[in-house]
This record gives sequence, C-alpha cells and structure tokens, in this order.
Amino acid sequence: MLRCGIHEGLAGFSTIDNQGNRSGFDVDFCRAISSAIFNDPNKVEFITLNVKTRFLALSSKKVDVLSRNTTYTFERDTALGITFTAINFYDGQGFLVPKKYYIKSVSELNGATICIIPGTTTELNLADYFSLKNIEYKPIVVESTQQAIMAYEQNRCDAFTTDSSALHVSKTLLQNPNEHVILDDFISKEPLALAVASGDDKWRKLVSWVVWGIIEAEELGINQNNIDLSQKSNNPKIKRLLGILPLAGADNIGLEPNFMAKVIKQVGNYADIFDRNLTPIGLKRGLNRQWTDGGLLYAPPLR
Amino acid sequence: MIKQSINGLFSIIALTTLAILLIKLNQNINHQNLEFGFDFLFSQSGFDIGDTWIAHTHDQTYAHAILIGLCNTFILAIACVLLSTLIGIFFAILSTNHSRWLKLLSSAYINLFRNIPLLVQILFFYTSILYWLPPIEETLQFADIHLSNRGLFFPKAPSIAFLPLLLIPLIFIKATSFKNRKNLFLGLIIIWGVSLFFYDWQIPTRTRFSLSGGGQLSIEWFTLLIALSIYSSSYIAECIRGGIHAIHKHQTESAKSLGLNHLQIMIKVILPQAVPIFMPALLNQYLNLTKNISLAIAIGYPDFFGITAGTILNQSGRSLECILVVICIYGLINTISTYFIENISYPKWKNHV
Repeated sequence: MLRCGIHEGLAGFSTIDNQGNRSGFDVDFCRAISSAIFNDPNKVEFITLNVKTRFLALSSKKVDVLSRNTTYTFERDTALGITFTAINFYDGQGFLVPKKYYIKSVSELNGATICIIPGTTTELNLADYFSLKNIEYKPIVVESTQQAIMAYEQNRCDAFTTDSSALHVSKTLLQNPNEHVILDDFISKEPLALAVASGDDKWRKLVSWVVWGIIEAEELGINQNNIDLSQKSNNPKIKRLLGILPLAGADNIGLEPNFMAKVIKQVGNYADIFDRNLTPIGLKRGLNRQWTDGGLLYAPPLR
Repeated sequence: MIKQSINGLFSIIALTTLAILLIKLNQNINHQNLEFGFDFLFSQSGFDIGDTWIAHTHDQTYAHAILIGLCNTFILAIACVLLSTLIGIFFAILSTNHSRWLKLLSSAYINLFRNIPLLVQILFFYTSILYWLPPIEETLQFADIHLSNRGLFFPKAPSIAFLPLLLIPLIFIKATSFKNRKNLFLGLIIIWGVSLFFYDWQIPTRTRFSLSGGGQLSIEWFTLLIALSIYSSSYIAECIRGGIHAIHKHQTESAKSLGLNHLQIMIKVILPQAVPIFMPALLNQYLNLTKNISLAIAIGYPDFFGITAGTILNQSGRSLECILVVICIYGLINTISTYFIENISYPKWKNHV
C-alpha cells in the first residue's frame, strides 16, 4: 500500500463523497503513483494531514508521499527533512473583493482590512507585497475557511486572500458570487509540488518521473481515451513513454518500462486530471498550460 | 520514611522516562535530517499582526511576535477576570436569595452557559454580532465614537496623558490614613481629568475602506471578552455559592438579630468569611480562563497560542519547536500561579477562618 498524505478537504483537490470515495487533483496524483508501482490505482491509503502536521508526518515517514497543495520553497526543502519532487500545479496568491469597490488591482487596497486563511506562505507574501508598495493594511487571520468566508461576506473585511485555486472554490461558496470578483494580479509564486522524505533518492526519482510522465503524456497527446490506439503509434517519443521502445533505467527505480501506460490508462494525463477535478469548480488552465501553449508545464523528456 | 522512599522512587521513574524520551527524540531528529533548535526565533518574522496593543511589523523577530501575543492574551485575561468575577458574584448572590424565581433564574443561567462548549459559544456570539451590528458604511455614531461590526472606534489621547495614573499605587503605599488616601486619590483623578482637555486627541476619520486614527477595539476582542466572561462566570458563580453555603447559618441568624438586611448580611458578614474558602477554586477558574483564550484562533484574534502554534509554526515549519515554546510558556504561567495560590494567598486567608 502507498501511504499518501492529503488535504482534509479542499474542493477540487481533495474531497470525499458520502460513500467514502476520495477524489480530487491531489488524490489523483496519489492514485497515479499507485498505478505506476502496483498496476492498480486503488492501492493507496489516504491519510489526511493539516497544515501543522504535514511536514512532520512526512519526515517521520508516517506517509510515503505528500500530495497536499504544498508550496515548494527553499526553507521547506532544506530545513525540514523533506525533499520536493516535480511541480504539478502553478498557483499564486490572489484577492477576492466586492465589486462595489470598483477595484482593478491589488495596489488600490490601501488601508483595507484583509481576511486571511493561514497555512501556506500567505501572511508572509502579504507583508512583503504591501511593504514594498508602501501601503497600509490590517490583517485578520482566521483559522477556518468557513469563518473567514462568513466574516468576509458580512463585510468584516474588505478583501479576502489565499491561493488563487482555493479562492475560486471560496467564491462559489458565497451567497451572491456575482457581486464579487477575483483580481487578476497574483502577489506571489506558489508552485505546488509533491514531496517525499529526504534520504531516499530512488523514491524521489520515482515520484518525480510519474508527475513528469503525466505532463509529457498531455504534450504528446495521449490521454485516457486514446491510450489503446496510441500503442500502435510510430512516434518514437510516444513509444518510449509507453515502454514499447526500451526506457533504460526504469528498473533501477523499481518500475516496469511501461509504467506510464498503466498510469495513463488508469488515471489519465494532466488534462484528464485537471478537467475531471478543477474545471468543474471554475478554474482555468492559466499558467498550468503546456509550454507549447504558452504555459509553464515543461517536463524533462522521458528517454 | 516510607512516604519519602515512595516519593524518591517516583521521582527517579519520572526523570528516567523523561531522559529516555529526550534521547529518543534527539536520535529521531538526527535520523530524519531535521534541523532542531530555537535560533529561528530571533530571525525576522516577515508577517504583520493586525490587532495588537503594541505594534508588530514584518521586520521584527519571531520572539517579538510571541511576546506581542502574550501581551494580547494577558490583557484579554485581565479584562475577562474582572468582568466574569462581577457577573459571577451577581449570580452567586441571586442563587442564595430566598426568592424561588431568582434562584431559578440564576440556576438557568449557570446551567445554560456551563453546559454549552466554549468554542460553540464563541462562534455563536461572533456570528450574531457580525450580523447584528451595522457594517462600517453605516456605523452607530455618538459624537466621535463609532460602533460597527468591525469594532469600536473612539478618539484617543496620546499615551503620555496616562502617565500620571502610575502615581495611584504610590498613593496607596505612601498615604497614612484612609481619609488621606481618599483625598489624594480624588485630587489626582480630578487634576488628571482636567489635563486630558489639553492634549491633542486623535479622532477616527473615514478612509476609503474604513475608519482610521484614534483607538480601536476589534469585534473579535469584544466577542472573546463576552463569551469567555459569560462562560467563566457560570463556574465562578458556583465556586462562590459553595463558599457562601459553607458559612454556618448561625452567622446569618446572628446578623439578622442585629437588624441587618439581606444585602448587608451578604456584604458585611458572609462574603468576608466566604472569600478564603472559595479563593483557591476561583484562582483555578482564572487559570482556566487564561488557557481558554487559546480558542481565539477560531475567530482570528491573534493571541499567544494563535501566533505561536498558528502563524509562526506555519511560516517556519518548526512544529516541534513551536509546540515546545507553547508548552513551556503555559507551564510557566501555571507554575507561577500555582505557587502563588498555594504559598502566598491560601495560608494567609486560611488563618482568618
């Protein structure tokens, strides 16, 4: 069994239905790793972790991999006994404001009271941005999303900030989503990546290459629907990805050469995973388009 | 002799267990490539805190942020102790009244607020107040004082204006007689009151989003004050009632025969004797209250716990260190208070009984 650390509940990324089935963007990456190793997407034990326990749970090997909306930063990568693998989502800190203020950019928020959900590097980014622009603000840090949204809706604060992906989810929870708008500017870079405990090179490589394989599959146009047809493709890149042409070194990290074929068949490529989980909650691909479409997804080649 | 050897044995077991735990912890930390240490407390925090008595900005250290949080916790604790004691005394006296209805009222109050979990009460009060008070655009206004669902905004005199109040303890220490003390006290208050007119007051003025300048008490602070005081007062009322009941009824009867009325009996005869009995229990309630302030994190008031085990922990990722800081500081507060309860307050009052 793969022990995968996930979010307690974040629409689009990690949710659970009333039959106990888990779904979401982060959940699907856990399943993909399980497919690659066991040829079965369901050999995963999901362990929910909160912001406070996630790194300790990983470094003490309570979980094998952390797939939990976690921003890749220097300090986390170097001081916490964990190592980040490939980035699977490019997020940024955004702002939700009522339309009645006619605000176009974050720099117009001088003197505003801002509600924050703590967790990632949110408070740090806010302080950095506002001190750089030399404008004032008043932060209110509320632990639970529901309370923060309630406070924002009752006009306790003028703006609400967190990672843009979570902001889209929050907006749908408002009573009148049409009276609010998410500003276009991001004040931070939030590359979300899977992480593993330090000290196991093979395991780190395995996780990274599953993520890159999923991204590469989209670039090469192979998805869950056309995977069987693609087996007959003449493109050597596709043949290597699917393990038809030899992919040297796969067995060094404990995988069969056709591991990506299993992953794509059982879980899908990046577009499959994104469309299944994030498109329904109103997220656009944005930065998470392929580099060939002007986005940032750029996987090292599998060869 | 036997008692001493048992004590000794238990101390040895406790110390050994602690030593084993620490050694194991140290091993695991090394094993997991974790960096362990408290140096990070003296690096720049990088975040601002909104609602504080002393400002904290991003270029100050984590340690400073922790102190600011402690300051927030203590000031709130003092306000809650005062308010909850007043409410507690009120309901304790009601419950010892002869009127059945007043007794019923008091027991209804005590049972209602004692039986609902504190977190639920805090969230209930917070939500109600947010809906009930007007938004910032249409504040309830009296002169330059504004009340809205963001808090209370009021004119503020510069802090130097409050310096003369530091003389009050001096009066209480130095004054020779009660009359002397009273006159000095009144004189000081009057002179200080008049002096306030000569300072430049900061008055809250409207900005694009809110009111700025002047003093401000946030709605989160008020919510905690109300919720914690009401919750604790129900326990305090029970403590005090216990103390009152412990006084023999002969005392009441003797006082009655001297012609004192109900209130006089309570204030002049019963309460002075009951205080030493309920004081230790009451101090325990104050300790509980201080610890309960950690629930402030639910509505976003930056108390000591929220800042240390919330923001700083998230920011630095140092879970173990932050939790240790929290444990040590709460432990320290409680040890000092317990020492105070046992060695200073209790014997002195006990001798009076």
